[in-house]
Formats: sequence, C-alpha cells, structure tokens
Amino acid sequence: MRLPYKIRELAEAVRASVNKPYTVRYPFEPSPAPEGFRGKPQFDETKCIGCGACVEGCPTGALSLTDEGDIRIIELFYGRCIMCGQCVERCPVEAIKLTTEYSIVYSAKEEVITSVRLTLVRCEVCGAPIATVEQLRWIIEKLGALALSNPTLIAVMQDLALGKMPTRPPRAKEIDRGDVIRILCHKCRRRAMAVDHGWRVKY
Amino acid sequence: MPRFATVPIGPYHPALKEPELFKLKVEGETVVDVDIRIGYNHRGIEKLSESMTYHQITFLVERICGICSNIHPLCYVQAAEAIAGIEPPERALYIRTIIEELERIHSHLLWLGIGAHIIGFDTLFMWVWKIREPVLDIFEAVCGNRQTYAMMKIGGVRRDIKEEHTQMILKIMDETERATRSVINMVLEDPVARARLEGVGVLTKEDARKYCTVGPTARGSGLNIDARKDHPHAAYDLVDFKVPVMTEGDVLAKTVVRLEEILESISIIKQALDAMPSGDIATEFKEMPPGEGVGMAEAPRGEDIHYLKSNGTNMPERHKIRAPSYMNIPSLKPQLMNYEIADAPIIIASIDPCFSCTDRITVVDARDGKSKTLSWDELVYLSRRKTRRLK
Amino acid sequence: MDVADIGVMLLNLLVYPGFVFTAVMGLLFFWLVRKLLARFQWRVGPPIYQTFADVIKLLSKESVVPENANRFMFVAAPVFALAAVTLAMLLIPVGAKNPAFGFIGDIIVLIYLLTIPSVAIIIGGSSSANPFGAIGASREIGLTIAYELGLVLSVLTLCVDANSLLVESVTGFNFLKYPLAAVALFICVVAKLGITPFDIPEAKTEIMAGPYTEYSGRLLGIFKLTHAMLLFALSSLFVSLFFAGPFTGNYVVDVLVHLVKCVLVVVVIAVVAAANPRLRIDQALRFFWGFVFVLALIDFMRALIPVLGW
Repeated sequence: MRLPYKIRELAEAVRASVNKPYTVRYPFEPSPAPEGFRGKPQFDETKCIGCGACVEGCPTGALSLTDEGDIRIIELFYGRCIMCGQCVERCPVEAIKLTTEYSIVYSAKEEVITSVRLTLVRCEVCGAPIATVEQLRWIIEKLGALALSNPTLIAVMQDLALGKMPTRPPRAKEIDRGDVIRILCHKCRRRAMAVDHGWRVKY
Repeated sequence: MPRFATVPIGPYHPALKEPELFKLKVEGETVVDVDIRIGYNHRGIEKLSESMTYHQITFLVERICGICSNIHPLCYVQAAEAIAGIEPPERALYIRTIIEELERIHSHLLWLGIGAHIIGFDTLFMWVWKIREPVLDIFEAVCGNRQTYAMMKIGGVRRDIKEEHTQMILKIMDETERATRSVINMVLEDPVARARLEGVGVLTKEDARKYCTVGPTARGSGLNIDARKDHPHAAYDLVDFKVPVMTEGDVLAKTVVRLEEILESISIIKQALDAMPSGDIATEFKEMPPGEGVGMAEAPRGEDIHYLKSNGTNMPERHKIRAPSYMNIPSLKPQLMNYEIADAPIIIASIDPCFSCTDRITVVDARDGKSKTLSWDELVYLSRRKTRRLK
Repeated sequence: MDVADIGVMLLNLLVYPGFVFTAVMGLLFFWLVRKLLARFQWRVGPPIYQTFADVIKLLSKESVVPENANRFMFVAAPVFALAAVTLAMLLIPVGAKNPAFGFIGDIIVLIYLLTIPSVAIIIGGSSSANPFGAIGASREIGLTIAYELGLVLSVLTLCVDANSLLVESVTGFNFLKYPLAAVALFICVVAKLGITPFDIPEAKTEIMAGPYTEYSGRLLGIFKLTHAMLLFALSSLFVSLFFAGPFTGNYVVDVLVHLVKCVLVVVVIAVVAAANPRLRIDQALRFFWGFVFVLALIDFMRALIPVLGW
C-alpha cells in the first residue's frame, strides 16, 4: 500500500537526519579523485626530449617553448591549463602525465609555473635552433643505422661519444660546400649541398 | 502615481544562474509586458574559432556552456567529419550516445533541483542533487572530469569505456531509475508543488510553433520534434526509445517531459552498453579539404546546430553556432504575460535557459523615448555625414 | 514605586526574561532550525555558534541608507521592532502561570506588541526606495492580513473560555480542550515568523530579499536579531497558552520544562519547513481565510456558546 505522500517524505527526512551526512567535510577529510581523473599535469624531466609537440597541441597556450642561447625552456603555466590531455596524447616519449591532483592552489607566483630546461643545439652557420640534445639522441636511436646518412647526426654522435655536448658556437661566414660536415639547420644544409659553389673536378 | 511599475529581473538575480535582463512591466502583481535583453555573456567564441586549429576548437566549444558541455563538441566534430568525409567506427558511435544520454540525465536532474529551489522547496533541491552525484561520479571515472569531459575527437572518441566502468554504470543507472521514479511521484502528488507548477506559464501549441521553440519547451506544448529521431546521429538509429510529449504546455508539463526523458535515457544507456561492439574508437584524420559541414544533436534544452566552413587550411573560415536556448527565449513573452511576478522565475526557469549557449550575437536596439540608443547603422551614417562636412 | 522596583523592572526587561535571555535562546533556537533543515537534506549544517557569529558580524558593519529612502523611517523600523519584541517578552510567561508584569487587559497589549514587528517590516520595505522592497512590503501586508485573523481568534477563544483578559488566567494545558485552535495558532505562528511555506515576503529566489533588500550592516543585524527573538517569543507563547504543563514548585525545573517544550515546537516547525515549497501570496490568503479561519471559528463557537447560554 502506498503511504500518503507526506508520510513518505517525512520518512525520508528522518532517515536523512539519523544517517551520516552525504557531504564530505573536505578539506578536513580527504576526498581522493578516481584513477582516470584528469588532474594537474606533471613533467617527467628525465624523459622529455623538448620536441614541442605538446606546445603545438595545447588549446589554450598554457604550454610555451622559448629558446634562449643554449637552453630550450618548455614552460607550463597552470593558470591557463584546462587539463584536457592533448599534451599527453601528443608526447612521443610519455614525458608529461596528468596526475589526479585537483587542488591547484598557490600562494606564490613561482609555484604556478613549472618548466623543463634542456640543452639546445644550434646551427653552426646561422644560429637557428635545430633540436635539443635529447631529441637528437632519440632520433638517432630510432633511425638506428640510417642515422649515418645525415651529417648533422654523425657530428652529434661523434661529440656525444667523446663525452662533450654537441653545442658549437655559430660562425657568421659565407657558406661553402665544405660546411657539409658541420651541424647545420635545414636551410643552411640546402645551401651548402645543393647550391653550385663552383667546385669542379680537375681532370 | 504611476499605474505600472517596472520590475527588473536580472542581470543579477538570485533566480537566474546567468546574467540576462527581463524587464517586467507589472500592474500590482500581474505582468503586462516583457522586454528581454540578452548579450551579457557574449565572449566572441565564433571569432576565436577562426584563429585556432581544428583540434583545438574541440576544447574551445566545450566551454561554451557548462551543462551542455558535451553537445557542443559532438556537433562540432560531426560538422568536421562531414567536411572531411570520414565515419567514426561503430564503438565510437555507441560511446558518443552513452555520454550524450548521461549528460541529459545530469542536466535534467540539475534543472529539477533549480526549479525546486526557485519555488522554495529546498529539501527537494538537495535530495535531487544527491541523486545526481553518482552520475557525476561516472563521468569522473570514465571521462576524467565532472564537467568538460573532453571525450570527443574528430574521427571518434578519445577514451574507451572499460569493463569495470560498465558494471559501475549499470549499477548507478538502476539506483538513479529508482530514485527518479520516487521524485516523479513526489512532484506529482505534493499539493503545494502542483499548485505552484500547474496552469502556470502556458505556451500554446500555435505559439510554440510560431516562435520555433525546440526541446522540452516544444514537447511540453504538444510538438513532437526531437533531433534524435528527426536527424539521427551517433547511434540513435540503432537503439529503441520513445519521445515523451505532453499537451498542456504549462510548467508542470515541461517538468514531466524532462522526468520522463530521464527514464528513457536510462533505458538507452542500458541498450547501448549491451549492444556495443568491440573495436577501434577513432579513425585517422589527417587533413581537412575545403567544404562546408553541418552537425546537429539534441542537447538537453533542444536542438543544437554547428556550421563549419573550411578553406583547406588548418583553421576554419567560419564557424557558426546556434544553441537551443536562442530559439526558446523569445517564447517567454507569451508565457509570462498575465501571470504574477511570483511565477516569473519559475516560468523563466521552465524553458531551462542556458544563456551562455545563447549569446552568439549581441543585440543592439534603438528605443524611442527620452533616452535614445543609437544602432550601428545610425552611428556609421552620422560619422559619414561629419566626414562629408569636413571635406 | 521605589528604586528597587524600578531596578527589578529594568533587570526583567534587559536581562531575564527580557533582552539578553530572549536573544540567546532565540539565536539558539534559530540555529536548531537551520541544523535540522540541513540534516533533513543530507547536509552537515552550521556549528552551534553560527547564528551568534552572524548577528555579531552584522552588528559591527556599517549600514548604508539609500539616497532616495525616507531616512527616519528606514532607520526607525528595525529599532521599533526590537523594542516591541523585548517588551512583549515581559508579558509572556516563561515557566510559570503569570508573566513578569501582568495587568488587566495585557493580552490585548501582547497581541498588539507582537504585530509591531510585521508593521516594522512593512514600513522598512516601503521606505527603501526599491521596487523589490515595495513588492516585499505589499506581500507582507497581504500575509499579515491573512494570519492575524486566525491568531487573534484562537487567542480570543481561550479568553472567552477563561472569561478574563489576563494572560495568567489564560495559560494552561488547553490543548486537550481546544485542539483546533491550537493547530490554527501553530499555523499562524509559522506564517508570522516567515518560515516556509509562508516565507513569501522574503522570497529569496523571487524578489531578492523582499523588504530587507536595501538593509545592510547594523540595521540588518537588528532585524535578524528581532527575527530570532520573535521565534523564541512566539514558541513560548504557544507553549504557555496550550501546553503549560503541571507546575512543580521549583522555578528552575519549571523553566527547563518550558524550554524543552519550546524545543519540541521548534522541531515541528523545522519539519514543516523542510517538507513544503513556498506558496504564492494569493494561495496563502485563500488558505488562511478559508481553512485556518474555519478551524479557529469552530473552536471559538465551542467556547462562545456555553458562555452565551444558547
């Protein structure tokens, strides 16, 4: 038999008042997020290769990439991050992950920005940035034996094998065919390799 | 002593979730005229779309509205897929349907709580939102967030529904169904709630058709229109469901339409979880040829349309959004006339207005009388006249 | 009247059962209503000091008087309300059969004093130069017209029955004799306090805050304090008129028993408030002049007929 409506309502009210409240006394009680939750992103500096794929995919511009001298800085500004996960999808080496932390509270401006700093390799002639050392290492590993087809990669492998960083200071000089063996950006390599510099075979 | 007083509801008002201005001209407590001003939430989203890549726009349109936050990306990726000519795999279609129906459930429960709060029934407000919490827990576990689910991708969906999630969803759906049925009885049997909702804010069928209303506003007045049946998208032609329609057109009819829709959604979700095949969740999408595309979906408030025009580059040329509340808001004029001020908030809330979805165009109008607001054309004419004088 | 008498009168007015006692008990009862409402809604609810903190905070802030408002009326309204409720407590018995200062005809004075807070709300709302204030004031007028009839009629029932106009002869356990008048008085008390389903003047989601819209700071604090004190005063009155129990000789025990009964009344008020939405003003008028009036009239006739000897 259906009790009259008010009696059922009162029964629910009494049941509510004797049970524990449904609300959680956060922050005095912890309220953890489930496993798949998209919380604040975290860099893994040991894995990042500085390729900038995350920066390109970020819808809001929270991730930014700056090249200063010999350093490439990838910066994440939590104030603009919407925790969408595009950076996670695009990263080829899983160097950025979304944690399950949802409370991004900060009292100092420095806490809002997190960054990764990597050594940058620049073109020896024009100074344009090529890639970071870690990215070149990654490319070499992926290409395997085919890495020996590219003089930039050979030069990088040589320097790394000798234990020094492949960063070389740029020399503003007219580009010549002999510069083919140096570390060059793609524009300079085209000028060195494909333009006629007047060398002729002497018979 | 003036006979009419003007009572402004908004832009800031405890009954409205978002800012709008309704100027009610009242005689005593009866409303005799209504002036509706929208545009307070205009953020320039269509213009912003023209400078973002196609992948980035998916996240932009998600933030048009917090409650219909899945429908806008769904319409947008359907428009983009229409231009690119790709079809998402079947599993992705089912997942899209499930997310859309879950969103409908949570939106209608939210609306019911707000409606109860407006008529002063705070207890029902809290109880209904308690029923809504497990649905948000499903979203948190499956999509990663309680709102702005970021599930849609051009070509499919971004995340899969795993087996343990399926069990959780079915359990929560059973609980929600039981709770919703008891809430339906509570609303229909409480004499005071019925006195506040019945016969209030009547929208006749001719008015509904004349003002081109959509969604539960139209279905409460007897129009049988639903984008899920009329333009089947996602997996709606593969599942079986009814579209509830009531004829009275008052606030109670719209409430009952929404509550029945919750029950239908629960049944759709169960069918979809059952029939979902295994497989890929997205097809590859490489480049966008030039062309035009239209995506349509049924938001909890009505039919939502996105139009996209591409010119071959990686940013669209024109993106036009028409949200359902834009069609429903002008129909407030016949609904508010000759009712009392005490009923105005519940009538406004009964069309479930989402002003964040609505403000795509700012309306500039010229009033005659003591203060004159000039429209854009008049300003241009005046400035051209001055230039001619100076020459 | 010598100095000692005046001193005792001032003590009664300001401390017990006057201002301090009523304020403390009223704020505690108000907290109880809020806590119960929250628990019925599966929420946690405010801690016990919440209402005190609210009033103290409001009393320490600046009041802003709108430019077009009638300044004297705007400021005087809450002050009159507070004075009326404080004075009314002298005429309401707490834990005894007679009030602190009774005299012949004091029940009429009591009813008038209890009407002043509603009039103060009306004056405050209309003098605030705000359309929401005007609507709130007009709703308060409508509501007052609605419930005053039932209120006065049920009190008059007891007066006719006791054949006197002294509060002390009207108090007693009259519930068994006139249950319908008790129910009518209870509903009128809920309406007077502005609690759901009759919180029509201060309908938060419809007209901002009704007559209180322009009030802020100290003046709003005085209004809130008056509201809390009215809660205690009216529940005390209800208990004294209909449930004033067997009196042991011990004064402290009597007062405690009275307070326990008041707490039970407040619990019932909270349950009614939790279970109902808000009525519209015309529906409320119809309800009071129909159902409640008939209830009170039946008991009034039952009391009147033996006296008239029909």
